[in-house]
Amino acid sequence: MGKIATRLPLAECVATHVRRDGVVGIGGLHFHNTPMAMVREIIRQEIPISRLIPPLDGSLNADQLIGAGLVEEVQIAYLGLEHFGMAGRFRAAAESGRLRVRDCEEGGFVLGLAAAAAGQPFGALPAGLIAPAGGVPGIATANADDYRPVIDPFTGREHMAVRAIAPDVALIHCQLIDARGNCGFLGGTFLDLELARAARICLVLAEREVDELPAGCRGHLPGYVVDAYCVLDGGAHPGSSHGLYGYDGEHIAAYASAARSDDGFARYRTETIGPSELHYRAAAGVPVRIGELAVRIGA
Amino acid sequence: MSCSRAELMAIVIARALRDGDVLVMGTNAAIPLAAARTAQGLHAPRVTVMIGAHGTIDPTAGVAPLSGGDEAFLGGRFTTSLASGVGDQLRGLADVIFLGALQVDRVGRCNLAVIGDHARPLLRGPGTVGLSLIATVKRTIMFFTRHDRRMFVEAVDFLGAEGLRADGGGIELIVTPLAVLGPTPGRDRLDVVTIHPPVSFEELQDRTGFALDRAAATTTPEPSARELAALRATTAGTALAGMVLE
Repeated sequence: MGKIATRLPLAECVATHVRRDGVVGIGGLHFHNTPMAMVREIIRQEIPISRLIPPLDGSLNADQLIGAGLVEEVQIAYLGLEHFGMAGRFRAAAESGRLRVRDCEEGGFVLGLAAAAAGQPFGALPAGLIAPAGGVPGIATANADDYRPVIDPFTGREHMAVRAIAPDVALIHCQLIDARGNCGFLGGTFLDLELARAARICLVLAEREVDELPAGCRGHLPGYVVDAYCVLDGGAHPGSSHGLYGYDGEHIAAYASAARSDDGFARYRTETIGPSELHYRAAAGVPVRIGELAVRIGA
Repeated sequence: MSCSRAELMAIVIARALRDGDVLVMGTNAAIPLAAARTAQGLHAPRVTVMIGAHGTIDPTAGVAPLSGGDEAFLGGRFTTSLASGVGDQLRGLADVIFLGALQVDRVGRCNLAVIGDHARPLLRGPGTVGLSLIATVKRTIMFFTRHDRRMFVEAVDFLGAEGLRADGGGIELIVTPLAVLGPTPGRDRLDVVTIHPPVSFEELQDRTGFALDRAAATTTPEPSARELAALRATTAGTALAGMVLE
Protein backbone atom coordinates (compact mmCIF):
# COMPACT_ATOMS: atom_id res chain seq x y z
CA MET A 1 0.00 0.00 0.00
CA GLY A 2 1.30 3.43 -0.91
CA LYS A 3 1.23 6.37 1.39
CA ILE A 4 -2.01 8.31 1.67
CA ALA A 5 -1.10 11.97 1.73
CA THR A 6 -2.87 14.02 4.39
CA ARG A 7 -3.35 17.76 4.21
CA LEU A 8 -2.47 19.40 7.53
CA PRO A 9 -2.05 22.94 8.84
CA LEU A 10 1.62 23.96 8.90
CA ALA A 11 2.18 23.83 12.68
CA GLU A 12 0.44 20.47 13.03
CA CYS A 13 2.27 18.99 10.04
CA VAL A 14 5.66 19.87 11.52
CA ALA A 15 4.70 18.84 15.06
CA THR A 16 3.37 15.47 13.87
CA HIS A 17 6.08 14.44 11.43
CA VAL A 18 9.37 16.13 12.31
CA ARG A 19 10.54 14.14 15.30
CA ARG A 20 13.10 15.49 17.75
CA ASP A 21 16.75 14.64 17.07
CA GLY A 22 16.06 13.26 13.63
CA VAL A 23 17.84 13.60 10.27
CA VAL A 24 16.20 16.32 8.18
CA GLY A 25 16.71 16.95 4.46
CA ILE A 26 15.61 20.14 2.73
CA GLY A 27 14.70 20.57 -0.94
CA GLY A 28 15.23 23.31 -3.51
CA LEU A 29 18.55 24.91 -4.44
CA HIS A 30 20.05 28.09 -2.99
CA PHE A 31 16.98 30.21 -2.21
CA HIS A 32 14.87 28.71 -4.98
CA ASN A 33 11.87 26.45 -4.31
CA THR A 34 12.81 25.80 -0.73
CA PRO A 35 10.16 25.20 1.99
CA MET A 36 11.00 28.21 4.15
CA ALA A 37 7.70 28.23 6.09
CA MET A 38 8.47 24.69 7.32
CA VAL A 39 11.96 25.78 8.32
CA ARG A 40 10.50 28.69 10.29
CA GLU A 41 7.99 26.37 11.95
CA ILE A 42 10.76 23.99 13.10
CA ILE A 43 12.47 27.03 14.63
CA ARG A 44 9.26 28.10 16.41
CA GLN A 45 8.72 24.60 17.79
CA GLU A 46 12.44 24.35 18.65
CA ILE A 47 12.80 20.83 17.28
CA PRO A 48 16.44 19.71 17.59
CA ILE A 49 17.98 18.14 14.48
CA SER A 50 20.73 15.56 14.88
CA ARG A 51 21.85 15.97 11.28
CA LEU A 52 20.70 18.56 8.79
CA ILE A 53 21.06 17.91 5.07
CA PRO A 54 20.49 21.16 3.16
CA PRO A 55 20.07 21.13 -0.62
CA LEU A 56 23.18 20.52 -2.77
CA ASP A 57 23.51 24.31 -2.56
CA GLY A 58 22.23 25.14 0.91
CA SER A 59 21.17 28.65 1.80
CA LEU A 60 19.26 30.60 4.45
CA ASN A 61 17.10 27.50 5.03
CA ALA A 62 20.04 25.78 6.78
CA ASP A 63 21.58 29.01 8.08
CA GLN A 64 18.43 29.86 10.06
CA LEU A 65 18.12 26.39 11.64
CA ILE A 66 21.79 26.56 12.61
CA GLY A 67 21.34 30.11 13.93
CA ALA A 68 18.47 28.92 16.11
CA GLY A 69 20.89 26.49 17.76
CA LEU A 70 18.90 23.44 16.66
CA VAL A 71 21.50 21.66 14.52
CA GLU A 72 24.09 19.32 15.94
CA GLU A 73 25.71 18.34 12.66
CA VAL A 74 25.33 19.48 9.06
CA GLN A 75 26.13 17.47 5.92
CA ILE A 76 26.88 19.78 3.02
CA ALA A 77 28.31 20.19 -0.42
CA TYR A 78 27.78 23.98 -0.29
CA LEU A 79 26.24 26.29 2.26
CA GLY A 80 26.26 30.00 1.53
CA LEU A 81 24.10 32.84 0.29
CA GLU A 82 25.45 32.87 -3.28
CA HIS A 83 25.73 36.49 -4.48
CA PHE A 84 24.44 37.69 -1.09
CA GLY A 85 27.65 36.44 0.54
CA MET A 86 28.55 33.90 3.19
CA ALA A 87 26.02 32.19 5.48
CA GLY A 88 26.69 34.10 8.69
CA ARG A 89 25.18 31.75 11.27
CA PHE A 90 26.80 28.70 9.64
CA ARG A 91 30.16 30.46 9.71
CA ALA A 92 29.84 31.49 13.34
CA ALA A 93 28.76 28.02 14.49
CA ALA A 94 31.44 26.18 12.48
CA GLU A 95 34.23 28.58 13.37
CA SER A 96 33.45 28.30 17.09
CA GLY A 97 33.62 24.51 16.87
CA ARG A 98 30.00 24.14 18.07
CA LEU A 99 28.76 22.73 14.79
CA ARG A 100 30.13 19.52 13.32
CA VAL A 101 30.42 19.72 9.53
CA ARG A 102 30.37 16.65 7.31
CA ASP A 103 31.91 18.00 4.13
CA CYS A 104 30.71 16.30 0.96
CA GLU A 105 31.11 17.35 -2.67
CA GLU A 106 28.81 17.47 -5.64
CA GLY A 107 29.37 13.99 -7.11
CA GLY A 108 29.04 12.14 -3.82
CA PHE A 109 26.08 14.25 -2.71
CA VAL A 110 24.13 13.52 -5.89
CA LEU A 111 25.05 9.81 -6.01
CA GLY A 112 24.39 9.43 -2.26
CA LEU A 113 20.88 10.82 -2.66
CA ALA A 114 20.26 8.80 -5.81
CA ALA A 115 21.41 5.66 -3.97
CA ALA A 116 19.00 6.27 -1.09
CA ALA A 117 16.17 7.03 -3.53
CA ALA A 118 16.74 3.61 -5.12
CA GLY A 119 17.06 1.80 -1.78
CA GLN A 120 20.79 1.21 -2.17
CA PRO A 121 23.07 1.33 0.90
CA PHE A 122 25.77 3.40 -0.80
CA GLY A 123 26.92 4.77 -4.11
CA ALA A 124 30.26 3.94 -5.69
CA LEU A 125 32.19 6.94 -7.01
CA PRO A 126 34.18 7.20 -10.23
CA ALA A 127 37.92 6.66 -9.86
CA GLY A 128 39.81 9.74 -8.78
CA LEU A 129 36.78 11.80 -7.75
CA ILE A 130 37.94 12.01 -4.15
CA ALA A 131 41.59 12.98 -4.01
CA PRO A 132 43.57 10.91 -1.50
CA ALA A 133 44.81 13.44 1.06
CA GLY A 134 48.55 13.69 0.83
CA GLY A 135 49.81 15.82 3.67
CA VAL A 136 46.75 18.07 3.50
CA PRO A 137 43.43 17.09 5.09
CA GLY A 138 40.62 16.56 2.61
CA ILE A 139 37.23 14.94 2.26
CA ALA A 140 38.83 11.49 2.29
CA THR A 141 40.27 12.11 5.77
CA ALA A 142 37.80 14.63 7.23
CA ASN A 143 34.58 12.78 6.41
CA ALA A 144 34.84 9.04 7.05
CA ASP A 145 31.16 9.20 8.06
CA ASP A 146 30.22 9.47 4.41
CA TYR A 147 33.24 8.46 2.32
CA ARG A 148 35.00 5.13 2.68
CA PRO A 149 36.95 2.88 0.34
CA VAL A 150 35.26 -0.23 -0.99
CA ILE A 151 36.52 -3.16 -3.07
CA ASP A 152 34.73 -3.65 -6.36
CA PRO A 153 33.57 -7.32 -6.14
CA PHE A 154 33.85 -7.69 -9.91
CA THR A 155 37.33 -6.31 -10.57
CA GLY A 156 38.97 -6.32 -7.13
CA ARG A 157 39.87 -2.63 -7.55
CA GLU A 158 39.48 -0.19 -4.71
CA HIS A 159 36.97 2.63 -5.10
CA MET A 160 35.55 5.32 -2.88
CA ALA A 161 31.98 4.76 -1.74
CA VAL A 162 29.57 7.38 -0.46
CA ARG A 163 27.00 6.47 2.17
CA ALA A 164 23.39 6.72 0.99
CA ILE A 165 21.85 10.04 2.03
CA ALA A 166 18.62 8.84 3.62
CA PRO A 167 16.99 11.43 5.90
CA ASP A 168 14.21 10.59 8.35
CA VAL A 169 12.17 13.38 6.85
CA ALA A 170 12.38 15.41 3.65
CA LEU A 171 10.88 18.89 3.36
CA ILE A 172 9.94 19.68 -0.23
CA HIS A 173 8.45 22.78 -1.81
CA CYS A 174 6.38 22.69 -4.99
CA GLN A 175 3.90 24.97 -6.67
CA LEU A 176 0.83 22.77 -7.15
CA ILE A 177 -0.62 19.74 -5.41
CA ASP A 178 -3.83 17.78 -5.74
CA ALA A 179 -5.87 16.12 -3.00
CA ARG A 180 -4.01 12.81 -3.45
CA GLY A 181 -0.71 14.58 -2.81
CA ASN A 182 0.48 14.46 -6.41
CA CYS A 183 2.92 17.35 -6.84
CA GLY A 184 3.41 19.62 -9.83
CA PHE A 185 6.57 21.68 -10.29
CA LEU A 186 6.32 24.77 -12.48
CA GLY A 187 10.07 25.34 -12.54
CA GLY A 188 13.28 23.70 -11.38
CA THR A 189 13.09 20.36 -9.59
CA PHE A 190 16.81 20.30 -8.67
CA LEU A 191 17.28 17.12 -6.53
CA ASP A 192 13.77 17.22 -5.04
CA LEU A 193 12.52 14.11 -6.83
CA GLU A 194 15.48 12.15 -5.46
CA LEU A 195 15.30 13.66 -1.96
CA ALA A 196 11.57 12.97 -1.62
CA ARG A 197 12.19 9.28 -2.30
CA ALA A 198 15.39 9.08 -0.27
CA ALA A 199 13.61 10.02 2.96
CA ARG A 200 11.42 7.81 5.13
CA ILE A 201 8.85 10.58 5.51
CA CYS A 202 8.16 13.19 2.85
CA LEU A 203 6.43 16.46 3.71
CA VAL A 204 5.42 18.89 0.99
CA LEU A 205 4.75 22.61 1.22
CA ALA A 206 2.72 23.60 -1.83
CA GLU A 207 1.67 27.06 -2.96
CA ARG A 208 -1.76 26.03 -4.26
CA GLU A 209 -4.05 23.01 -4.21
CA VAL A 210 -5.72 22.21 -7.53
CA ASP A 211 -8.33 19.70 -8.66
CA GLU A 212 -6.09 18.44 -11.40
CA LEU A 213 -2.41 19.13 -12.22
CA PRO A 214 -2.26 21.07 -15.49
CA ALA A 215 -0.16 20.08 -18.48
CA GLY A 216 3.06 22.04 -18.62
CA CYS A 217 4.44 21.12 -15.21
CA ARG A 218 8.18 20.59 -15.60
CA GLY A 219 8.31 17.85 -12.97
CA HIS A 220 6.06 15.65 -10.90
CA LEU A 221 6.13 13.70 -7.70
CA PRO A 222 3.48 11.03 -7.21
CA GLY A 223 1.25 11.27 -4.16
CA TYR A 224 2.29 7.82 -2.94
CA VAL A 225 5.68 9.29 -2.00
CA VAL A 226 4.08 12.04 0.14
CA ASP A 227 3.06 11.55 3.79
CA ALA A 228 1.57 14.95 4.46
CA TYR A 229 1.29 18.36 2.84
CA CYS A 230 0.51 21.95 3.67
CA VAL A 231 -0.84 24.59 1.32
CA LEU A 232 0.40 28.13 1.80
CA ASP A 233 0.88 30.79 -0.82
CA GLY A 234 4.20 32.55 -0.25
CA GLY A 235 5.58 29.63 1.77
CA ALA A 236 8.92 29.78 -0.05
CA HIS A 237 9.42 33.49 0.75
CA PRO A 238 12.00 35.08 0.90
CA GLY A 239 13.13 32.54 -1.68
CA SER A 240 11.52 32.10 -5.07
CA SER A 241 8.78 29.73 -6.13
CA HIS A 242 9.50 29.13 -9.78
CA GLY A 243 6.64 29.98 -12.10
CA LEU A 244 4.94 32.07 -9.41
CA TYR A 245 7.34 34.58 -7.85
CA GLY A 246 11.01 35.50 -7.77
CA TYR A 247 13.24 35.70 -4.70
CA ASP A 248 13.03 38.74 -2.44
CA GLY A 249 16.53 40.17 -2.80
CA GLU A 250 15.93 43.00 -0.34
CA HIS A 251 14.82 40.59 2.36
CA ILE A 252 17.69 38.16 1.72
CA ALA A 253 20.26 40.97 1.75
CA ALA A 254 18.83 42.25 5.06
CA TYR A 255 18.94 38.69 6.45
CA ALA A 256 22.54 38.23 5.28
CA SER A 257 23.50 41.35 7.15
CA ALA A 258 21.52 40.39 10.31
CA ALA A 259 23.05 36.89 10.29
CA ARG A 260 26.55 38.32 10.70
CA SER A 261 26.00 38.77 14.46
CA ASP A 262 24.32 36.88 17.29
CA ASP A 263 22.21 39.93 18.11
CA GLY A 264 21.23 40.52 14.53
CA PHE A 265 19.99 36.96 14.14
CA ALA A 266 18.23 37.04 17.52
CA ARG A 267 16.35 40.14 16.36
CA TYR A 268 15.48 38.52 13.04
CA ARG A 269 14.17 35.48 14.89
CA THR A 270 12.01 37.47 17.29
CA GLU A 271 10.82 40.24 15.03
CA THR A 272 10.59 38.55 11.65
CA ILE A 273 10.20 34.78 12.12
CA GLY A 274 8.09 35.51 15.20
CA PRO A 275 5.65 33.26 17.04
CA SER A 276 3.56 32.19 14.01
CA GLU A 277 3.61 32.08 10.23
CA LEU A 278 0.85 34.66 10.34
CA HIS A 279 3.26 36.95 12.18
CA TYR A 280 5.98 36.31 9.57
CA ARG A 281 3.62 37.08 6.70
CA ALA A 282 2.78 40.44 8.22
CA ALA A 283 6.32 41.28 9.36
CA ALA A 284 7.88 40.39 5.99
CA GLY A 285 4.98 41.74 3.94
CA VAL A 286 4.67 38.42 2.14
CA PRO A 287 1.41 38.93 0.21
CA VAL A 288 2.57 42.30 -1.15
CA ARG A 289 6.13 41.15 -1.90
CA ILE A 290 5.14 38.01 -3.81
CA GLY A 291 2.73 40.16 -5.81
CA GLU A 292 5.55 42.55 -6.70
CA LEU A 293 7.87 39.65 -7.51
CA ALA A 294 5.25 37.70 -9.49
CA VAL A 295 6.62 35.94 -12.53
CA ARG A 296 4.99 37.53 -15.54
CA ILE A 297 4.22 34.75 -17.94
CA GLY A 298 5.63 35.56 -21.35
CA ALA A 299 7.40 38.70 -20.07
CA MET B 1 41.46 48.30 -28.77
CA SER B 2 40.39 49.41 -25.34
CA CYS B 3 38.13 47.15 -23.35
CA SER B 4 37.14 46.45 -19.76
CA ARG B 5 38.98 43.89 -17.64
CA ALA B 6 35.91 41.65 -17.62
CA GLU B 7 35.73 41.82 -21.43
CA LEU B 8 39.40 40.88 -21.65
CA MET B 9 38.83 37.89 -19.32
CA ALA B 10 35.91 36.70 -21.45
CA ILE B 11 37.99 36.93 -24.62
CA VAL B 12 40.91 35.07 -23.03
CA ILE B 13 38.48 32.29 -22.05
CA ALA B 14 36.80 32.30 -25.47
CA ARG B 15 40.19 31.69 -27.12
CA ALA B 16 40.60 28.52 -25.05
CA LEU B 17 37.26 27.02 -26.12
CA ARG B 18 37.16 24.52 -28.97
CA ASP B 19 34.42 23.69 -31.42
CA GLY B 20 32.19 20.95 -29.97
CA ASP B 21 33.08 21.65 -26.34
CA VAL B 22 30.37 20.97 -23.77
CA LEU B 23 30.68 23.67 -21.08
CA VAL B 24 29.28 23.48 -17.56
CA MET B 25 28.47 26.70 -15.70
CA GLY B 26 25.95 28.09 -13.21
CA THR B 27 26.70 30.44 -10.37
CA ASN B 28 28.82 33.40 -11.48
CA ALA B 29 28.18 32.67 -15.12
CA ALA B 30 28.38 36.22 -16.51
CA ILE B 31 31.95 35.93 -17.84
CA PRO B 32 31.81 32.23 -18.94
CA LEU B 33 28.49 32.74 -20.75
CA ALA B 34 29.88 35.75 -22.60
CA ALA B 35 33.00 33.73 -23.46
CA ALA B 36 30.91 30.83 -24.77
CA ARG B 37 28.82 33.07 -27.00
CA THR B 38 31.89 34.90 -28.26
CA ALA B 39 33.57 31.61 -29.17
CA GLN B 40 30.36 30.54 -30.93
CA GLY B 41 30.56 33.70 -33.04
CA LEU B 42 34.21 33.14 -33.91
CA HIS B 43 35.83 29.71 -34.13
CA ALA B 44 33.56 27.37 -32.14
CA PRO B 45 29.96 27.53 -33.40
CA ARG B 46 29.10 24.13 -31.92
CA VAL B 47 29.94 24.93 -28.30
CA THR B 48 27.18 23.59 -26.01
CA VAL B 49 26.40 25.35 -22.73
CA MET B 50 24.97 23.34 -19.84
CA ILE B 51 23.55 25.07 -16.75
CA GLY B 52 24.39 22.73 -13.88
CA ALA B 53 21.54 23.61 -11.52
CA HIS B 54 18.84 22.60 -13.98
CA GLY B 55 20.60 20.54 -16.61
CA THR B 56 19.51 23.22 -19.12
CA ILE B 57 21.16 22.77 -22.51
CA ASP B 58 21.88 25.96 -24.49
CA PRO B 59 20.06 28.46 -22.26
CA THR B 60 18.08 31.21 -23.92
CA ALA B 61 18.91 33.82 -21.26
CA GLY B 62 20.68 36.78 -22.87
CA VAL B 63 22.47 37.78 -19.70
CA ALA B 64 23.38 35.31 -16.97
CA PRO B 65 21.19 35.79 -13.87
CA LEU B 66 23.10 36.38 -10.62
CA SER B 67 21.88 33.06 -9.18
CA GLY B 68 22.71 29.77 -10.90
CA GLY B 69 19.38 28.29 -9.79
CA ASP B 70 17.39 31.19 -11.20
CA GLU B 71 14.29 30.46 -13.19
CA ALA B 72 15.78 32.56 -16.00
CA PHE B 73 18.22 29.69 -16.62
CA LEU B 74 15.43 27.12 -17.07
CA GLY B 75 14.63 28.07 -20.65
CA GLY B 76 16.88 26.55 -23.27
CA ARG B 77 17.04 24.27 -26.27
CA PHE B 78 15.92 21.67 -23.74
CA THR B 79 16.35 20.76 -20.09
CA THR B 80 17.60 17.44 -18.74
CA SER B 81 18.00 17.43 -14.94
CA LEU B 82 20.52 18.37 -12.31
CA ALA B 83 21.31 14.70 -11.58
CA SER B 84 21.75 13.68 -15.21
CA GLY B 85 23.93 16.75 -15.82
CA VAL B 86 26.15 15.76 -12.88
CA GLY B 87 26.16 12.21 -14.29
CA ASP B 88 27.48 13.58 -17.59
CA GLN B 89 30.21 15.38 -15.70
CA LEU B 90 31.14 12.27 -13.68
CA ARG B 91 31.12 10.18 -16.84
CA GLY B 92 33.54 12.52 -18.64
CA LEU B 93 31.03 13.66 -21.27
CA ALA B 94 31.54 17.32 -20.31
CA ASP B 95 34.60 19.07 -21.71
CA VAL B 96 34.99 22.21 -19.62
CA ILE B 97 33.84 23.19 -16.15
CA PHE B 98 34.13 26.74 -14.81
CA LEU B 99 35.05 26.97 -11.14
CA GLY B 100 36.29 29.31 -8.45
CA ALA B 101 37.85 28.61 -5.05
CA LEU B 102 38.92 30.20 -1.77
CA GLN B 103 42.49 28.98 -2.24
CA VAL B 104 44.57 27.59 -5.10
CA ASP B 105 48.11 26.53 -4.33
CA ARG B 106 51.42 26.27 -6.16
CA VAL B 107 50.77 22.68 -7.30
CA GLY B 108 47.18 23.40 -8.34
CA ARG B 109 45.31 22.03 -5.35
CA CYS B 110 41.97 23.78 -4.73
CA ASN B 111 40.02 24.53 -1.56
CA LEU B 112 36.63 26.08 -0.92
CA ALA B 113 35.91 24.48 2.47
CA VAL B 114 37.99 25.95 5.28
CA ILE B 115 40.94 28.19 6.08
CA GLY B 116 42.69 26.78 9.14
CA ASP B 117 41.79 23.60 11.00
CA HIS B 118 38.71 21.74 9.77
CA ALA B 119 37.22 21.16 13.23
CA ARG B 120 37.62 24.80 14.26
CA PRO B 121 38.43 26.88 11.20
CA LEU B 122 39.60 30.48 11.07
CA LEU B 123 37.26 30.90 8.14
CA ARG B 124 34.52 28.48 7.28
CA GLY B 125 33.95 28.58 3.51
CA PRO B 126 30.86 27.30 1.74
CA GLY B 127 32.10 23.78 0.93
CA THR B 128 33.72 21.73 -1.80
CA VAL B 129 30.72 21.60 -4.20
CA GLY B 130 31.88 21.06 -7.79
CA LEU B 131 35.62 21.18 -7.20
CA SER B 132 35.74 17.38 -7.13
CA LEU B 133 34.48 17.35 -10.73
CA ILE B 134 37.91 18.63 -11.81
CA ALA B 135 38.79 14.92 -11.63
CA THR B 136 36.22 13.80 -14.19
CA VAL B 137 35.41 16.73 -16.50
CA LYS B 138 38.09 16.92 -19.19
CA ARG B 139 39.31 20.51 -18.63
CA THR B 140 38.82 23.10 -15.92
CA ILE B 141 38.88 26.85 -16.41
CA MET B 142 39.05 28.81 -13.20
CA PHE B 143 38.30 32.49 -13.13
CA PHE B 144 38.42 35.01 -10.35
CA THR B 145 37.18 38.55 -10.13
CA ARG B 146 40.04 39.43 -7.76
CA HIS B 147 43.64 38.31 -7.29
CA ASP B 148 45.49 38.32 -3.94
CA ARG B 149 47.87 36.36 -1.72
CA ARG B 150 45.05 34.86 0.35
CA MET B 151 43.76 33.07 -2.74
CA PHE B 152 47.02 32.03 -4.37
CA VAL B 153 48.88 30.28 -1.56
CA GLU B 154 51.88 28.01 -1.12
CA ALA B 155 49.72 25.12 0.19
CA VAL B 156 45.94 24.79 0.60
CA ASP B 157 44.50 24.19 4.08
CA PHE B 158 42.01 21.59 2.84
CA LEU B 159 42.11 19.44 -0.29
CA GLY B 160 38.96 19.90 -2.37
CA ALA B 161 40.61 18.68 -5.56
CA GLU B 162 43.95 18.05 -7.19
CA GLY B 163 43.87 20.61 -9.96
CA LEU B 164 46.64 19.10 -12.07
CA ARG B 165 45.75 15.55 -13.04
CA ALA B 166 48.34 12.90 -13.82
CA ASP B 167 46.55 12.14 -17.09
CA GLY B 168 47.01 15.71 -18.36
CA GLY B 169 43.47 16.88 -17.57
CA GLY B 170 42.37 19.27 -14.90
CA ILE B 171 43.13 22.98 -14.67
CA GLU B 172 43.91 24.41 -18.08
CA LEU B 173 43.67 28.12 -17.31
CA ILE B 174 43.22 30.37 -14.33
CA VAL B 175 42.03 33.77 -15.48
CA THR B 176 42.15 36.69 -13.06
CA PRO B 177 41.91 40.47 -13.41
CA LEU B 178 45.75 40.59 -13.42
CA ALA B 179 46.95 37.62 -15.40
CA VAL B 180 46.50 34.14 -16.78
CA LEU B 181 48.06 31.31 -14.79
CA GLY B 182 48.33 27.73 -15.94
CA PRO B 183 50.24 24.48 -15.54
CA THR B 184 53.93 24.45 -16.47
CA PRO B 185 54.82 22.28 -19.51
CA GLY B 186 55.83 19.49 -17.10
CA ARG B 187 52.45 19.93 -15.33
CA ASP B 188 54.11 19.79 -11.93
CA ARG B 189 53.02 23.23 -10.73
CA LEU B 190 51.23 26.45 -11.68
CA ASP B 191 52.99 29.45 -13.15
CA VAL B 192 52.18 32.68 -14.89
CA VAL B 193 51.30 32.33 -18.57
CA THR B 194 50.48 35.92 -19.57
CA ILE B 195 50.10 39.23 -17.74
CA HIS B 196 47.36 41.70 -18.67
CA PRO B 197 48.84 45.12 -19.51
CA PRO B 198 49.55 47.44 -17.77
CA VAL B 199 50.12 45.05 -14.81
CA SER B 200 53.82 44.50 -14.08
CA PHE B 201 55.44 41.20 -13.13
CA GLU B 202 56.38 42.74 -9.76
CA GLU B 203 52.79 43.65 -8.97
CA LEU B 204 51.57 40.19 -10.01
CA GLN B 205 54.23 38.47 -7.90
CA ASP B 206 53.45 40.74 -4.97
CA ARG B 207 49.79 39.70 -5.09
CA THR B 208 50.51 35.97 -5.55
CA GLY B 209 51.49 33.81 -2.57
CA PHE B 210 53.80 31.44 -4.45
CA ALA B 211 56.84 32.11 -6.63
CA LEU B 212 56.26 32.79 -10.31
CA ASP B 213 58.85 32.52 -13.06
CA ARG B 214 59.45 35.91 -14.67
CA ALA B 215 60.90 34.25 -17.76
CA ALA B 216 57.67 32.28 -18.34
CA ALA B 217 55.53 35.41 -18.57
CA THR B 218 54.46 37.07 -21.78
CA THR B 219 51.90 39.81 -22.32
CA THR B 220 48.26 38.85 -22.75
CA PRO B 221 47.52 39.50 -26.44
CA GLU B 222 45.19 42.45 -26.80
CA PRO B 223 41.72 41.59 -28.07
CA SER B 224 41.47 42.11 -31.80
CA ALA B 225 38.76 44.24 -33.34
CA ARG B 226 37.13 41.06 -34.58
CA GLU B 227 37.16 39.45 -31.13
CA LEU B 228 35.73 42.53 -29.45
CA ALA B 229 33.05 42.88 -32.10
CA ALA B 230 32.08 39.22 -31.60
CA LEU B 231 31.90 39.72 -27.82
CA ARG B 232 29.92 42.94 -28.03
CA ALA B 233 27.51 41.45 -30.54
CA THR B 234 26.24 39.16 -27.77
CA THR B 235 23.87 40.31 -25.03
CA ALA B 236 26.00 38.49 -22.46
CA GLY B 237 29.06 40.34 -23.77
CA THR B 238 27.49 43.79 -23.58
CA ALA B 239 26.85 43.17 -19.85
CA LEU B 240 30.61 43.03 -19.19
CA ALA B 241 31.53 46.55 -20.30
CA GLY B 242 30.50 48.09 -16.99
CA MET B 243 31.46 45.21 -14.69
CA VAL B 244 33.81 46.38 -11.94
CA LEU B 245 36.59 44.02 -10.86
CA GLU B 246 39.14 44.54 -8.08
